[in-house]
Parts: sequence; C-alpha cells; structure tokens
Amino acid sequence: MHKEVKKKMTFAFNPMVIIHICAIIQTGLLVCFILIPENFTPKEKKKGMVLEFIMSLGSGALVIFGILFVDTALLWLFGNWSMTDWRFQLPSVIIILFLGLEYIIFTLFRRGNLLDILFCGIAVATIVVFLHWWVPLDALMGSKLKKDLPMIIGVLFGVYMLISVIKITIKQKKSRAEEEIKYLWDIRKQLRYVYNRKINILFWLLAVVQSMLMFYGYSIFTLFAS
Amino acid sequence: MQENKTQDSSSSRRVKIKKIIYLIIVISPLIIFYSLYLNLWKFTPVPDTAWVSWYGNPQNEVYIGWETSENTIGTIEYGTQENNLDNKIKEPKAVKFHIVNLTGLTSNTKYYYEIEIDGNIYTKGEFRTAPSTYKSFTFGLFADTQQKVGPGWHQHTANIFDSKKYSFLALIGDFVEDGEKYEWNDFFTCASTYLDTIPLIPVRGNHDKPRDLDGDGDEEYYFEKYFPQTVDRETGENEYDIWKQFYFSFNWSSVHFQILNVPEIDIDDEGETGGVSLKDYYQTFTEDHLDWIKQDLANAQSMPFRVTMFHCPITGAGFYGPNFILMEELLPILHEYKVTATVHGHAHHFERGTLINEIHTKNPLTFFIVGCGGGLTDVGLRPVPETDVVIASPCYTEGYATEDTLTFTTYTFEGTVVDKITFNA
Repeated sequence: MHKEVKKKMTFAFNPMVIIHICAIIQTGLLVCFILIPENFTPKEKKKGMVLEFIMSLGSGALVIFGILFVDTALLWLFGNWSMTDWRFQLPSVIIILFLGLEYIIFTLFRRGNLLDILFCGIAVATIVVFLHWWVPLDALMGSKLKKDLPMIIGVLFGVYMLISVIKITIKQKKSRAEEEIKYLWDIRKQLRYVYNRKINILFWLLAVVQSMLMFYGYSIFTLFAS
Repeated sequence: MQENKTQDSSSSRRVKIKKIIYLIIVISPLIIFYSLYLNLWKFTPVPDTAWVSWYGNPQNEVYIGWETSENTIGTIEYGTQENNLDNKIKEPKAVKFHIVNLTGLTSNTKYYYEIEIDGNIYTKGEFRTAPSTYKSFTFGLFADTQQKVGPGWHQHTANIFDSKKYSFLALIGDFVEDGEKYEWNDFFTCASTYLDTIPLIPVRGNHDKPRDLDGDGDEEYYFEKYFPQTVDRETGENEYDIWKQFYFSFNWSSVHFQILNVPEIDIDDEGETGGVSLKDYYQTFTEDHLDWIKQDLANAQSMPFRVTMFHCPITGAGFYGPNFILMEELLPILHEYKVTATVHGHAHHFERGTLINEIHTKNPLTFFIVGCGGGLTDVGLRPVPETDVVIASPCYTEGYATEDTLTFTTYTFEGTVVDKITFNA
C-alpha cells in the first residue's frame, strides 16, 4: 500500500516518459562516438573551429537535458515513491540519473572552467525555479509548461552557445597550443573509469529496452520482480 | 611504397565498413521499433467481436453491439443454457454497425449468446443481468485506452481483465486518440479479449467526440454508433450541443451509477482567447443535462451508494489541474445529493482525492482518476491539496460492493494492492 500524499508537492516529470527522450539522446550520442574518433583533433585550425561549434550544439542540448534528467531522478529518489509502483520507475530513474550526470559532467566539468561553472549554476537555478516554483503556481499548470518550457530551454541553449562562441574565439586568438591553456582541474583520465564507451553502450541498451517495454506497460524490473 | 599505400587504403576501407556496421547496429533498434510500433496497428481490420451494454435497467434489458466491415444482417440466438439458445432475433436490415436490444430478461441470470451472419457463427459470448436485491458484486474501472504515441498497453490491461469475473467494466472515456476508424478497430481488437464475458459501460471522453476525419466538413461520430445509450433527446441548446450529449444511469445492486457528459478544458485555447476569463474557453453544461443530473440523483437517494462517472476530473495532479466549471456548476450538485464517489480519466495516472462537502460536512466527496488504461502516462505530475494518493505507473481499479459497503482497490499489473478505501452506507 502506498502512503498518502500529506502536503502539496511540487511538479515532477514522470521518468516513464523521460526515458523515451533518454533513449533517443543516448542513441544520438553513440552515433557521435562512432563518427568522431576518441582523441580526434583536426589538423586545420578553421575546420577545428567549425567542428568545435557543431559539437557545442550537441553538448548544449546534452547539458540541458542532463539537468532535466538529474532533476527528475532526484525528485523521485527523494520523495515521489508514494506516486508509483517502484518496479516501473526505478529502472528509468537509475538510467536517467547515471546518464544525466554524465551529460553534465562530461560537457562542463571534465576540465574546470569558470564560464562553464557559471553556466551550470545559472541553468540549474533557472530550471529548478521554473519547474518547482513557477509552474506549480499556476492552476492550469499544463498550459504554462507547454508554453514556457520550450522558451526556457531555448534561452539556456542560446546562452550556452554564446559561451561556446566566446571560448572558441578566445582559443583562436591565443597563439599557444590548447594544452597550455590553464584549467581549474582536469579529471578526464579518472572519468574514463566511469564514463567510457562500454558503459555508454550498456546504458544505451538499458535505455532502449526500458523505453520499448514502457510502451507496452512493462518495465525491466517487472520482467524479473513481481 | 606502393604496397604500404594499398595496405593503408584497404585498412581505411575496413574502418569505414566497421563504422557503417556500428551505425546500423546503434540506429536500427529504435528506428525499426518506432516504425513497426507506430504503424503496424493502423492496419488492424474490424475484429469479430461483440459487446454487451445497456440503456436502462440491466436487470431485464441489455443490448448487444457488433460491427462488420460490410453491410450484413445478423441473427442473435440467446438463452440461459449454453447448449440451448432458445431465443432468436434477426436484424430487419443490413448494416455495418449492429445494435440489438434483448428485453424481458430475468434478473441475476447468466445468459449466453451467439451471433450468426449468413449462416456462419460470427462470435459468441455471455453476460449476467443485474440482481434485483442488494447482492455483492465486483466491477472494473479504467480509462484512456487511447493510442497516444502508438497503441499503448490496452492489450496488457485487457489480458488482466480477461481473467476477472466482473459484473461489468466501466471505461471512463478516451477510447481512442484521434477518432480514426483504425483506432476503433485497434480498441475493439484489444477489448475482444474480455468483451465476450464482461459487459462494457462506456463514458464519453474528449477524444471520442465527433471529428471531421476526411476534411469534407462532415463529422464522423463513431462513439455514438458503437454506444447509442444516451438519454439526451435534444440538441442545439448552445454552440456545443450539436450532437447528443452522452449521459445515462443505472442501478446495480446497492449502487446507483451515473454517467455524465462533462465539459472539457482545452488548454490550447488559452493563448488564442487573449486574456478573457477562464470560463469563456470551457465548454458549458447544457441546461437539460444539469436538470437531468439533479433529477437522477434525487431519484437515487434511497440507494446506499451513488457513483458518478465522467471523463474530465474536477481537479487532480495531472497536466490540466482544476476544472473551474465543474467546481462551480457540478460539484455543488454532487455534494447536495451526497454522491459517494466520482470516477474519471483524462489525466493519465491513478489518483484518489477528497473534496470537502460544504453542504453535508459529514459526506466528503472522494474522487478517483483511473487514467492508466493504455495511453502514454502523464508527462509530469503536481499533486493538488485535494490529492490523497497518486500512482504514476500502469494500474487498474476494482470496485466491490455489498449491501452496506463499497470498496475501491487499485492494483498494479503484477497484482500488488497500491490503494484501497472502503465507504460505509
């Protein structure tokens, strides 16, 4: 039996729906892994700039969806279990938490950079305030979410792209090699133990299977735990 | 030198081929799945199935409906013994949508029926009439089987219902998503799993409304063809009263069931109305509908329990939030006539909540949202102060009534009880 909801709760995305988006994004990420070699550095400077810009389009989307995934997962892990049969939500929550963190860390925190940290802070604050204060305020929550969420995501994406352009321009202006630019930290080597290609393939498989099962009213855990 | 070049080019070709194979492996699962999942069901033909429902008193009259892809004349044979179907009704003319009334039935009796078309057995089934005394019974509740992003899990739900001994199953609206014919074919194909043994109580949802499917200006209203049991006899009272409103009621043992046609909230209109009051973009109740609700509930005051079923909830944790017109116009009536519980769909989750009764303070109104029938679940949830329990995963609800108790139990698909509440008469 589920415990009753005692207080007014905030808005939370449903992991059963988020997992479908996750499966699509993770598929896209694996496609990038296949097309772009692991330590790829273009020989021509101009080509490198264009490629870096294109990659930042993808990483901008990854960061924003990463924050949405982590926000959803944390809300369910720390409060929404009265709202579900855990067998349905838990696999999705685990997958989106792991991949959401990966998207954020890999894009913004592999090497510490003030602009990235600042962006992450702004993006997290904006999404948290929007989803957990602004949206629940309105009686007609659905219309507000439908109307304003694309705008919020669009603005954050725009800010991220602006930061990316600034970084690319600064890098181009500096005559030194990339390795000489000082970062606050560099944990790329350590991260490879957790977020490597094999692990990403495993989580892609889990996300795709979970997404497919959800469409038929099943979940990875309902296949094994009843 | 030449050899090295050849080796390089063949190894780069191998790398390219490898990449293409990897790409196919990564992309194909989702593409193949979505292509098949989103499209295959659209080719579902009209299934050979029939359904039992009723207009008035299910103690002695029901109707049997079925559909054929061509105009045909059907014959129903029915009786209380499976091997001796001693009553026969032949349809007067050839039609595609068949509705045949069976009257003069005996209460609390199991009937068997067989439908014949051109001398061949089309389908067969069974049903039990309502008891004339307060006898315990079980009924099922679910909603929103609509094929939102593919066919959904209605078939999964249907397989569970197939093993149940329900007196009837109420589907609280949104049988289909867009009202297309193939969606109805898919609905009845899944439902055929249980329709041969469980009568179906339809409630009209906002997605079941008449639609201009081929853009010729004429609206198709399949719901009315399948379920003609509304007691609304007049149309044209206001701009929304073009078609008959779908409402009716019946008694089964100790419970009075009332099925309403309620206004829906259309959030898409908000931007277009340019800041006008909320009420302007809600459809309104027709006067004859409101009068009927009051009269029907007044007539049912001697019943131990009154359950009102309508698609859009008065409030809830779903995407739509509270429906102000229901709060203003319907809720006071439900409070005044001490309705035990209301049952809804529309939001795609399960929810139980309490609406304080300011008229009869000892009779709060409990509402249930049973929208986990098969359509994709809600994108997100925001419990409201009236919310007691929310379940955001597939589940179904069962009602069990005796002379003096009415219990609603909600189960996960694996059979775990996730919510249970009992009302005393």
